Amino acid sequence: MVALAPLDFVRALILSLLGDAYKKNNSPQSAIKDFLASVAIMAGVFLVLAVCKAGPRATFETLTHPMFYEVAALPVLVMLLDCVLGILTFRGDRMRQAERLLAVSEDLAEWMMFSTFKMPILLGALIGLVAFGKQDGWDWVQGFPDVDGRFMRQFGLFYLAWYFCIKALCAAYVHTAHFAQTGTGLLQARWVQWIFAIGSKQEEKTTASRRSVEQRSVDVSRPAPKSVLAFQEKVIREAQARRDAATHDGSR
Amino acid sequence: MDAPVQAEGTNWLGVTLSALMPLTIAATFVTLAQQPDWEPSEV
Repeated sequence: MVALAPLDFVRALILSLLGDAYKKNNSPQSAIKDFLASVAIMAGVFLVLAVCKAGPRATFETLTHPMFYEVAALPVLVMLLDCVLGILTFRGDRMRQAERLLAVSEDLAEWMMFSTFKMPILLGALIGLVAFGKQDGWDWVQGFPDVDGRFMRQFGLFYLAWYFCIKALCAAYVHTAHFAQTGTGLLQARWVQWIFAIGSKQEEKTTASRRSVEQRSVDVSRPAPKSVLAFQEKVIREAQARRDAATHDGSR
Repeated sequence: MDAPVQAEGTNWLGVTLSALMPLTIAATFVTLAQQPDWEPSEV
């Protein structure tokens, strides 16, 4: 998971840049140019960060290591090629495609962060509890399998399978009619966001403020409900009736 | 007169193609998890 996380993070970032390229550009050529320029800027930023954090020598050694090309550069290159071919062969509504890509990238980034940094802590604590209970002779944990090397290997592989199943759901969901109606990703549901925000107050606040901003923007763009219009009409009529009555009284 | 707006349906081909790759990887991990333990090489 730790090995997959950086690559998945880069993938989510690239999908987000691809979504932006679809959104902003009318022609495939300009979209490709925009997309590749964004990726180049992102790579430059990463390079500067790496040099600042690890120093120029360590960065240079990493970049010239054959392992770097096998593990990072080649997958990213294949990803970029896939994106460029996708733009060239795309026929359809580019704004819809941008919406899909941005929703998937957001979902993938959040799922990756949750499964890498939060879920393992919870699962590790549970496994530790079961192992401790078995040693201590607790009755209710005797039904669980022994926590040994074999169990941990199987558990890790099943966890990775579960991670990819949710990724598949997120990627598939954006092609459904439900997404076409709502425009939000699978993991953007309020209860999922609540689970993701557990343990990070700042994130919870950010999500809450984002939701309120979205709500506000929806309220402004949405036409007023019939009941509000009827109320406004009633108030205007009453004011008009009062004015008429006052005019009649004055004329008498 | 404006044409009626048609609701966008589910694109089943898109759903299948998007889910295919991650599900294949997930299936590979499940298969690996069910393999017996790796024995130390005798060489």
